[in-house]
Amino acid sequence: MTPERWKQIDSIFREAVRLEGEKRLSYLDKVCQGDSDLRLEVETLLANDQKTGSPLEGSALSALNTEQLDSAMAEFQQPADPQPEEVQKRVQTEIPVRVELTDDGRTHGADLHGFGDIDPIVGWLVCVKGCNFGRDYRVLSERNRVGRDSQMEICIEGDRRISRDTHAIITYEPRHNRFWLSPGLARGVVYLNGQLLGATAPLKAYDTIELGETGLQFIPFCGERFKWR
Amino acid sequence: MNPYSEESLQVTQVLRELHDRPELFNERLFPILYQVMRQMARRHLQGEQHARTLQPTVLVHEAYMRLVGSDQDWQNRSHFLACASNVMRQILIDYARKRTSAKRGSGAAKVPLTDQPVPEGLPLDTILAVNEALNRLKEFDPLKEELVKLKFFGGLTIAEAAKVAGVSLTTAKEHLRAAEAWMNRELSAAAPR
Repeated sequence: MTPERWKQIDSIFREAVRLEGEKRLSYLDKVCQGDSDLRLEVETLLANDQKTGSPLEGSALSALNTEQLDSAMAEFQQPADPQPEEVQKRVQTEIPVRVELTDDGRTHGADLHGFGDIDPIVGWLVCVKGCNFGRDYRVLSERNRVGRDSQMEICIEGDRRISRDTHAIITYEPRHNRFWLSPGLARGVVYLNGQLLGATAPLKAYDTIELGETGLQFIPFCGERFKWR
Repeated sequence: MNPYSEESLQVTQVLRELHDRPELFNERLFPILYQVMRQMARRHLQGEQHARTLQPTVLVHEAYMRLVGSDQDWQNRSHFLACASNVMRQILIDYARKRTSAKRGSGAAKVPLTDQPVPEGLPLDTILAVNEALNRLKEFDPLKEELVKLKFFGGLTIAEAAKVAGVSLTTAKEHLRAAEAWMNRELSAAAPR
């Protein structure tokens, strides 16, 4: 199941559960319009909606008896810390201070709690090739879908060879303060520094990303020198 | 343990730092949470003769009250509830895996009858099936996965799960309904009854 297909099924399901009987059927006729797979997906979900006796009605804890829970607790062996060495090393050298000043007195760490509704910037993409030459795009925290559709977090208009929905994904991972580039689920391929991107790869300052006819250069704001706290 | 003990001060401190240093969860928070929840599970086992099942709130919420006390910082509370849910998930899956493989393997005869799930309880296979379905759900809808995880493994109410996941109650309810319909379908396909 691709996230795009699921999004479609999910939104039809959520609308359909608000409707009853004939209204629901005519809604499904209208939105599924001959897509029998889609119709089947939604109808099988509706058949499983609010199922009585589902294990998900309660929680795993409340369903176990106390002996089971006690043995589960007693037998559990805590797994070793799965953090890669590199991360641990980096963390040890990280200075645990909220706001620090550089030599020239500028702040290079700031408190994230002060933002209210603002989603703070973490980096930019700058178009260096293609019809949007010179334009910049804002990269925000966590997942940024790149595509032609206006629903995308990073919407690149005008290049018909860029897929509408999720051609690529740029992820800023706040925990480790790092950036990643992943190929999307659309047909279009992604190149990172001229190499075909097969799977998620780290994204570094001034890396070049190519999608369709467009070339983008990545400029981080967060990284070794700055981090929102 | 009172809210001013060394452990509880550690927990409060770790919760505050967790956003920036997630590795603290495995290093420091996990062992403390696990220890405290285990003590509480034991106390309930000994004390409540009639209660054959534990209310999930007993473990997760009491652990919070004991370790953090009346700290009203919702961000701390959210971190705590999310962490406690992860602890419970890991413990239960580990247990269910061991038990179900023991039953299937050569050691079948060694598993005493008392280890069988109570008739009205949840079979351990089901816990594993839920876990696997959740892993699949995460690939295309991480928000739904998180909500189901918090509710099912953490025993949180929908309102709490919504707060931890950072969505409104209405949104959480809608997502959970769709997620549970999907999970029910997956579970019935995996193990037809």
